[in-house]
Amino acid sequence: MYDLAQRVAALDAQDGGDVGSDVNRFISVLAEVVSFGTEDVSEMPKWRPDDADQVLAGCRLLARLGSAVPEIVSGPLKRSAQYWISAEKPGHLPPNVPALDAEHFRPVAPQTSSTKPFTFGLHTSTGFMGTQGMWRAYLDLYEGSAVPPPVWHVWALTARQDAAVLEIRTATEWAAFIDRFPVEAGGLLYPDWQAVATQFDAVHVTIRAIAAAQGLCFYVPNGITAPAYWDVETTFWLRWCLETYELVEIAPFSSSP
Amino acid sequence: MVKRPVLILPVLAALAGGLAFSAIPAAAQAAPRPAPPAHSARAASPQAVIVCKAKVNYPHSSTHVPGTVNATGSVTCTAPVTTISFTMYLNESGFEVAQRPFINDGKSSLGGNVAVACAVGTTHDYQAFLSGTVKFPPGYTPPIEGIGSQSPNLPVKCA
Repeated sequence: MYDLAQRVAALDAQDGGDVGSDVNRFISVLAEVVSFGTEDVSEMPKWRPDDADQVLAGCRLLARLGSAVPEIVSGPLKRSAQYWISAEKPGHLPPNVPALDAEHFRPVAPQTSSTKPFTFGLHTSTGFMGTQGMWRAYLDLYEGSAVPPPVWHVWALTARQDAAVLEIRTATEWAAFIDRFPVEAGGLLYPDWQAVATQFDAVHVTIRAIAAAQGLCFYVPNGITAPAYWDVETTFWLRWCLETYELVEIAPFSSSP
Repeated sequence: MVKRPVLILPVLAALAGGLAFSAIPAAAQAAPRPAPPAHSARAASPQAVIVCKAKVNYPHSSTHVPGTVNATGSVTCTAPVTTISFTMYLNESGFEVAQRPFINDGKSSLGGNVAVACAVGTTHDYQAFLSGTVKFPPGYTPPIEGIGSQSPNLPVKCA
């Protein structure tokens, strides 16, 4: 699935689906694109970002979703429809504090070598067509029928209109983003999130970019970018920019089809 | 967590190399059903055949939960079935270190995820297994069938 033509073929293997089934198919296909442990840069799949975007340009599933729910495919971010889910952690980890407020927000901290940090900031997904977004869809697909059922706290959020959000809609934009704020580790370039935070409050990674970039390294003027694994449409908030936030659901729940 | 030797379930042993099963309405079955994998089953009404496939994705360092190795898997059928149930297992260096059961009713697919803690920066071999059953709707033969799949055994660096 590191061959993009094969990835597009998998995404397009079932035409004629509704938005929900297309989103679930996207999640299932991208879930196969996982890190495989090697640290040898020479073994990693490397692309020119514009070549990757060109392959994905022919994806029928993305075209369908782009017409139906452009806010998750190419943006711009729908600030009034954000969701954050505090999902129950595996038993080996300390339990989450299912609280959302400025006090609990973890500001950007020094960190290297992560294309998707989870030790600071806040990850949200955009609700579309009455859903709670792609992260909820991911959880429903892979966690929702667990026995016993997990406990999730779902929050609906509205972000401030004046928050500076960087839109990443293509592999080219993802690669340029890292090249603009680079920090090197192990022969690869990662985003320098502290530098990013000097100019932006959040980064919105859409599924067109994810489809073209997941698991791949890209050639950029400053070197080679590290592979990223976002899986689902995500906005990564580097600052507390929420205007409103409301707890809307506490699961246990019935998973959606 | 106490490690114990890997448990090779009978259904998994029987499934080596075969990940798909199907069931057909009893009235349409013309001959005894061959042993699985059952792509060779025939029915008078081909669209009435329900085929189910199991898949397990590669174990990997989680990009959602720090210090965790996880693997996802799924069973997907061509039509809704009465019940899909399975357990995901995760082995580390040949020993089972985690398992998690999943079940749903009346749907055509079911996904699952199993995870285990890992020490950041270390690398170990991991392999994931899915083992379960599909209960087909009334009138289908067989009424219930085992299903399973497994990933390769892969080195995973904990991040």
